[in-house]
Amino acid sequence: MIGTALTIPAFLTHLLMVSIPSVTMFYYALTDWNGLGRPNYVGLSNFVRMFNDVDFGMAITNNLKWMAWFLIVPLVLGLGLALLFTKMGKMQMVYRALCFLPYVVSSVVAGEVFSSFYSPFVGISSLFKSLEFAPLGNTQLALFAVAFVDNWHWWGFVLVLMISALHQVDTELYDAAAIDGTNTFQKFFYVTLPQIKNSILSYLVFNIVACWKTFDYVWIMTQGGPAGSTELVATWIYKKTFISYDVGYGCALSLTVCMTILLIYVIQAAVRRILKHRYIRKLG
Amino acid sequence: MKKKMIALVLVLATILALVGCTSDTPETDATANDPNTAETDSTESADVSAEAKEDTTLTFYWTSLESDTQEAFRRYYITPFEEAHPGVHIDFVCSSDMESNVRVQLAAGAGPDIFRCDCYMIPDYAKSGYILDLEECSAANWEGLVYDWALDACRADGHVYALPHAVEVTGLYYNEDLLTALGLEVPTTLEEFENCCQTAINNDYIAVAYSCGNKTNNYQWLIGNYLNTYCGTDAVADLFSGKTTFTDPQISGVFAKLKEHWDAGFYSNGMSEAINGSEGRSQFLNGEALFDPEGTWLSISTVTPGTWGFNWGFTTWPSMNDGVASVGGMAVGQAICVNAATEHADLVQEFLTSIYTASDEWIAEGISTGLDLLCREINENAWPADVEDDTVRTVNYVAAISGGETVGYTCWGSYPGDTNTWLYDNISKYLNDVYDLDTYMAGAQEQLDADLESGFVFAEY
Repeated sequence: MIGTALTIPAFLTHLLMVSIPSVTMFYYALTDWNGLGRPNYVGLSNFVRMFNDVDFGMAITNNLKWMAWFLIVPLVLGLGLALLFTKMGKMQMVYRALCFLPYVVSSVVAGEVFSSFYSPFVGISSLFKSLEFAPLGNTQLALFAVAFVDNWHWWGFVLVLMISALHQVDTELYDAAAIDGTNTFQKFFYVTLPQIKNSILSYLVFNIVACWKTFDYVWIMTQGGPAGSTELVATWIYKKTFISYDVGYGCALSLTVCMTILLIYVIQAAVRRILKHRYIRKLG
Repeated sequence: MKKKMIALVLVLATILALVGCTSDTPETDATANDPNTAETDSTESADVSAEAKEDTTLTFYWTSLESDTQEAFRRYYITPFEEAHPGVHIDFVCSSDMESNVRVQLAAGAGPDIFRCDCYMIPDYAKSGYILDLEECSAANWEGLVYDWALDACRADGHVYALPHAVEVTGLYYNEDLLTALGLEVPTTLEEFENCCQTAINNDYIAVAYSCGNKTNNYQWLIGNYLNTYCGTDAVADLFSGKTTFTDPQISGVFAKLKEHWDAGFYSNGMSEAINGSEGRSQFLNGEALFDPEGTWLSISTVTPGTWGFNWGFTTWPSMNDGVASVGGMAVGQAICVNAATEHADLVQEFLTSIYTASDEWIAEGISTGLDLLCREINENAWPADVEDDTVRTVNYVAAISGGETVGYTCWGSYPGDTNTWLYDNISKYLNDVYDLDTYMAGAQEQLDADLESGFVFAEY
């Protein structure tokens, strides 16, 4: 009883700030509301419009590329350096702190600074004029240029996560593997990876959700340009809702993305459960 | 027992907090949707002086301003009114998210008494009933004082719904010293403009300093100027009145010409999208570029008058087509709306009027400190003795351009809102060959058709 009562303030706050607005989104997605006046019911026309929206399609494609980058690059970097740092002894803490520093820098500050680094007039390109390197103005490179900055911000966190996962691996397993005559690669693939598998899977799931919410670096550095090459789902929804004030359509987009991510989560949870049961049966 | 008491206190605190979040003016919903209610209230409130004698706070929202501009706002607009009305306090709040915050507050039946808005938003606000009809106040106090075209820009359904606050003129700033050094003259025709740009590039200068990397709405400067000077202002009026279309060769030729210049590297050597919104301006102010396509806000408030590092000039945008005049775009930069739910309608309107009815000397002094140009005439002898030459020159440029036949339209001042947003949001796809010209024009026309169908009326100068 007391425990329940103590959760009431948090529960009510969440209800008012998150749950109720989320539920009302279902209603507004069926209207042509512009944020003012009374919403007019338009049925499913916002959803029909979404399927014909070329820019939304472009945003989804860009988001998939973004997701592919962030599922691979920070993990490889973070895990690779974590394996190295755990063997370093006392200096490990210094390197960990240095690598984690970008994570505490505000995304606005980092975005603006890197925009200047990328400038062909005052940035790195000005040192190597023959390079003509202006990624933020190049439709093929802009997305990866922005992803690089977000990666620079984010990978230190992944490093710390992987270090903590590696510390939980029982060292006796490495001793046993050494006795069996395994080499470094075999130890990594047959001892380390299986032991930190759950941490990696949690990171991947968290990252998939986070990728579809990415907004800050793209908005600060390119606002979705040039030519929509860095347009992500979150920035497109923001433009539709808060710049064009096409709130009904924005709600429809948000709802669709939200349901898609939820579906991905449910599928991956089901797959994990099935694989776990198979593993248990195999052991038994 | 102690835990039970703590639990009880927490629950009570939550309930109290929730009660505090509810509106304390139950009739707000009705007044928010009935624009006549505030007027009825104003006729019932017999004496503004009596109203002012009670302690009254008016809330006034604006977008983000530099601290010295905020101080100027308070000194020249707000403080004189507060001193003339003891007991009245105006709470001036600046926020970069003002627009979206105000919309949410208005929809909730709340919101500030007065707030800044752009002209293209006025029809939406008026249609929703959230802003006060100021036609009576305009007829009694503003007509004859405020420019007629500026009042027209603030109309919806034939009624004035906002006080125009700032006049802006777009054109071409030029570095006079650099022009002279390169043996060039101020361009007025397409050939002269192209020659100037190419000469600048050949001498390792930037032709037109222009950046839009993270500010896509900067495209409005180019779109507006090219439309005015390629197809002419009459054609622009015909386009947005529905008499012609974007697919008309006269109109689509505008964007083809812009792309031609874009591909030629006239705009920041083809790197405009690779640099952020203020870097282009920095290029011009550092003497690296010949031209800057901004409006008169640059020399009135953005650059502190008296601090320019070179001799500068401002001119109308050169003609981009044979037989079409070289013009500058003119617009109301921003307007001030009154919340229909305000409880101090008369007081608020008196405050708005006071901004324009101050003496010429007072207004001129305010402008010389960096406030925007108001939409009214100012006696040329009213400028303070220490006014910077940059300010006076800018005012003279505005008067010369806006007073003659050399006046065109701006995207944000005259075009329908959704069409304008579509144009500047998608032009990058055309310039980068993601869209061809036909696709870009077809998309713009689709948006314009929707705007015209929802009742947009183009206000011709």
